[in-house]
Amino acid sequence: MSEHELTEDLLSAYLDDELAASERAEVEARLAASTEWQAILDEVRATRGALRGLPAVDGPPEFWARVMAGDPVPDATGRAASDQVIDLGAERRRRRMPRWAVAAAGAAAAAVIVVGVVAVPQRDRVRPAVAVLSNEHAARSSVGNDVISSLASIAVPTKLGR
Amino acid sequence: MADGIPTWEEVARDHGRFLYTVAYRLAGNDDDAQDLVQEALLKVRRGLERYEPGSLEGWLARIVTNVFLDDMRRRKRRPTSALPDDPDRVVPPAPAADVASRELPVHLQEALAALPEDFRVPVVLCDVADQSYEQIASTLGVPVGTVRSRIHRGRRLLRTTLTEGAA
Repeated sequence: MSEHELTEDLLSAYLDDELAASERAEVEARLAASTEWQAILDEVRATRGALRGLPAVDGPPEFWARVMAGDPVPDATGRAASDQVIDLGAERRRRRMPRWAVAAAGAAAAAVIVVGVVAVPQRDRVRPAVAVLSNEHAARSSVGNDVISSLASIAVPTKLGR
Repeated sequence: MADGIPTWEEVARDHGRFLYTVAYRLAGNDDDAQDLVQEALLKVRRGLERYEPGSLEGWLARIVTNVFLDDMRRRKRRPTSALPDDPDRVVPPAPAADVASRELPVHLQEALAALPEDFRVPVVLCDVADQSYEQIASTLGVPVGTVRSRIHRGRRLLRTTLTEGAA
């Protein structure tokens, strides 16, 4: 590394042990020659030490009780998920019905409609057909000249086809 | 725990404090920290099956950081404070005249919360979550050199805020 590339940004990396050996040697040489760099290093070291000395923070017990009792978030579907943990595309594909299933569902729906329109009304017809029966009865009565029969009610049992 | 993959309950129980600490240092208050932790744990639960055993806390720090950054992006639609246009162009101040005074005020957390997020996030990931520069660069999607610069400048800005506040 040349001299002009030696910036003070390296001082934090020096404290964090994030420098290559050659960089480290250059920083140490610069520190030995520069009181300004020494002052900056002292400041950064103090700040770094204070930050690292900050205590861990516990959330309120009631918060953790809620979290541990159930879902961390009851319904977060409206929230954005931008990290790599949740693959929203995969999630959508998982939820999406495959094409063959869509076609099968469509066919099933059409079958239900056909049954509803054609089959169900047939079940509700009166058996035997009242009009046909009435006509046959009238014809038989007119041929036989039987007065009683012509006055009789149609005594054929009927039922609803349910 | 099966195949080195913890259950969601184990993560919450054993690493909840770490998660909350990072969230709190990023957000600066309990309300926002709780929101971040809740959202992060939801993502943890959904993502556990794809977790590859390794640095669990690194993974958690990455998740909570992404949740925080998402939240910040949403909040920027209604900004409340002026942030530098290009954080990498912020020039750190010269060393304080009175460098003999090494005692930092007790308002460190307040100063940290006041730090622009471009500096606060790498500083928190480094000094609170104990992540390497490479891990931080990966989380933030920036070069390691940028991480190095922002951590240093963030620490310098923090120091300035603290010393000015103490004056």
